[in-house]
Amino acid sequence: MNNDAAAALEERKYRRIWLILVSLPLLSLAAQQTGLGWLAILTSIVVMLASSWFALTSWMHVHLEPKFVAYLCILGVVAVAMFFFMVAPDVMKHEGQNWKNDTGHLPGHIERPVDPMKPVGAGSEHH
Amino acid sequence: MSGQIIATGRSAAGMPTGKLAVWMVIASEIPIFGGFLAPYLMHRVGHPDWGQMAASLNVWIGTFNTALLVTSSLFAMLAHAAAERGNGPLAAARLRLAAYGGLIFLCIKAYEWYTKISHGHVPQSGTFYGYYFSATGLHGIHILAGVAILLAIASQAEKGKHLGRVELIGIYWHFVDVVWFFLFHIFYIIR
Amino acid sequence: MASHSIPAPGHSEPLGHHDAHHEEHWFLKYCWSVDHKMIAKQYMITGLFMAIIGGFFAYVFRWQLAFPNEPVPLFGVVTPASYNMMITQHGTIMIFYVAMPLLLAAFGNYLIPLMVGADDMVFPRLNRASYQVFLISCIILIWSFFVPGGGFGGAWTSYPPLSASASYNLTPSGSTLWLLAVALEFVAFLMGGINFIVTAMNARAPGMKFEDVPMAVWMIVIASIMFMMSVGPLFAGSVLLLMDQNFGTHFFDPRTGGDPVLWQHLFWFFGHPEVYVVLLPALGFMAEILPVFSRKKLFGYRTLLYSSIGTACLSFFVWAHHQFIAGIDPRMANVFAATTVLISIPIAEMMFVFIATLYGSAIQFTVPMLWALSFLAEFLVGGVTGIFLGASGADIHFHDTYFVLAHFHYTFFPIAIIGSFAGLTYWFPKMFGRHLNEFWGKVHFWITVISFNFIWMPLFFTGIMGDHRRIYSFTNFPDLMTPDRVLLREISSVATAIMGLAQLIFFANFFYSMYRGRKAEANPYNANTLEWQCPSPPPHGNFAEMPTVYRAPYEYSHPDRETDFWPQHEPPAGAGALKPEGAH
Repeated sequence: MNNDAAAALEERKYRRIWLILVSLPLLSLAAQQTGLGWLAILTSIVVMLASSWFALTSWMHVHLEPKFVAYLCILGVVAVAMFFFMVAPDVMKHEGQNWKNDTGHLPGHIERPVDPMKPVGAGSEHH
Repeated sequence: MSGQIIATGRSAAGMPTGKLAVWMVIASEIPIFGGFLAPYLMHRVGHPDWGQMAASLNVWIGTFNTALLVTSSLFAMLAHAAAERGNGPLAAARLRLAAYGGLIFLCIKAYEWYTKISHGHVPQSGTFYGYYFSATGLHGIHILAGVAILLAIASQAEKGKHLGRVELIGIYWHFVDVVWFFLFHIFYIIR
Repeated sequence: MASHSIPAPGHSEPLGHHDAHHEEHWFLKYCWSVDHKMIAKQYMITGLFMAIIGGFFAYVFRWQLAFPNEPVPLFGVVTPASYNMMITQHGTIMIFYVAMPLLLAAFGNYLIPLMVGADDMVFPRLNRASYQVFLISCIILIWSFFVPGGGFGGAWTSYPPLSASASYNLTPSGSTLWLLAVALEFVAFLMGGINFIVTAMNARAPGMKFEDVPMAVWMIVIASIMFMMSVGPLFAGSVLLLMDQNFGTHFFDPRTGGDPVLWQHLFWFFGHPEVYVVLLPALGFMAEILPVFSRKKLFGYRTLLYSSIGTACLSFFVWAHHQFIAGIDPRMANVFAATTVLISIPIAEMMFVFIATLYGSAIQFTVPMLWALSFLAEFLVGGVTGIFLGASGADIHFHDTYFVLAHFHYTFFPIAIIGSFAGLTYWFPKMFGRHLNEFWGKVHFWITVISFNFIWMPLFFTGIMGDHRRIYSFTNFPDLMTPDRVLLREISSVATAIMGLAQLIFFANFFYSMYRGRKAEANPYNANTLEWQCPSPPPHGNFAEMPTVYRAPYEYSHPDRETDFWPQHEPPAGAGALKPEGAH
């Protein structure tokens, strides 16, 4: 039946997406195994975004829904991104032009490695 | 009672009520997981030493778990295809396979946690582990909830009831996948 | 793995929803109901009950501040620990357990299905679960007052390291229970919020376009979306803080390598949008009440709608103004000072919309209208003083003084108390089918509003003079014990007690009128919106015939009509009426 043929075609499409989604993490695994940190980071970002894209469009069919669905999800991502970029200056940096966050330099602050099993001084972020 | 309510059957926004709600749940989950990952990333960038702790995670198991979750999602997708054709029993069988995938994922995760803890890598031995355990733990709770709902919907679909729900749980299940893509790369791959 | 080992929740249907009973057991009717109106009333009663607790705490510590080290009538001697506990719980209760359940949950549940012309919320059982989780959260919070060590006393903001370690806050179980209660409350409101949004989006009556939706519904929906987008980081943060308290992790404790400022960001990223989450529903009530009692069309429906969406967006960019002296990056402080001042523009726009609605009309000074008008006046004071605090330089002087407290009580009191009273008195005839007593309503209104100004106006001045908000007894600071300051504090505290007593009038009026008040007809105010088109109180299923909407909600005193109102569901003369949906 025509209906069944269409369904079989659809199922084949889903399997193809599955193949992509299974191979993409293998790609990042391979990148990590090279030992090149920057390569692993770069591959990870590409793979994260690509696999999310495939899952969102081919499996969750977000593009078939009314547009506001995608906008809502984007809104959530934007909220997180905004949180990250506006908080990061406080959590990551402790001095700048004409100001200095003294607590950032006290012994025992986050810049110290906190694992008791490792020697103090392994962190290299001190200015 | 819920079946008699006129409001539930309306779709003024252009999509079924259940699906709209699932997307709302997903939209509200994004900031929750983001709330774990954003602070982690901020700290991580300033702590090259966390790389050693990240290296203690078994990336092979992580990759296998990723593949497992994706496979489980494929079955949820195939169940949706079966449900669209009106084939309830086939959809139910595929949903159960998806649920078992989730359960195996949880077992492997439990094994991973067990080895971490038995090596002394508990949440309080390093903030990295704190984030690792809390983020993967929250994700695990989502998997557990997903498995329960998958099985519940499978038993309904078997009787040919509520076949529309197969797609809804599928959407949620794929979302849990997407979250895992991020967790996997951020915790396991980037060292 | 055996498939039988997994319990499938779908198999076991919970009690109480196989079919509609005609004569329901009282337990099913009052405690296990899925009817949105009953759930709204449950939220309302719980919120009012929590308000009594929060208000009583306010009275006790205000009395302690004015008359230090004397036993407080009805309470006894206030110890520093119980003082801390009470200010903490006052803040928590008033925001999370009074403003949220009353403004968002009670009115959201009650109004959204009625105003959009639906017979119930789209997920009635989810709705019931939302209330039950909220109730558990309330019980946990109250329970935490009585555990060993007492209730949590580290302020409602729960800043670490004070909150992160029992060795600092001395409330080992109180702080954990507090955090658990707040986290559960978020879960409850996430469930409720999703229900509100989906109902308003999907279950609108046929013919109801976006600009036919009453403002109250719009505002509650926008507030729910804001809540949904902002609460995630704090939910994550509260999980991390729970781990800090109980598992010895160090996310936030700097002694062991955490970052306390991170918690402040996680908290205020939610905490500031939260202010607008409760403000918007209150503004929505104003937009319903003002046109009805001035018999004029709402001035600038779109202006109000777009400026509230603008407020919602901007409110995500202002949170760090709570942290100007917390050691944040000064460059970010500049950005946040600018956005903070910027957000007064859409808020001012809404104020002008309301004033323009009133302009040139014959105002009917009914009790809801009095509350609505006082909202505009009092909120204006709160908004204007906010500009002082939004400037990051001036904030260094004002931070943590009573000036700050006076500022945010001038915003929160209009929102949470005046807004709730406006809503309660306005929709009371619809909820209970009877009118409140108008005279005692006015007496209650005047005493409450006048005493409110006597509480907080003096504290603006003590704040500028340097009274710090975390001081338990000013006798320990002799230079803060000058006679003028003491007088101002005493005025404020006596006014607090008077205001508390005045609420007895309200409760008496409320419960008396519920059973003995004058009977109300379906549409006592000649209002347009759909909730007035069904009987008072609405039966299960709300409408005898599901309405169809033909026009915008604020068509008052239309020149072409004899009557001064034009209900939304009334078919236009001559036009062929649309077939009503689901007529039964």
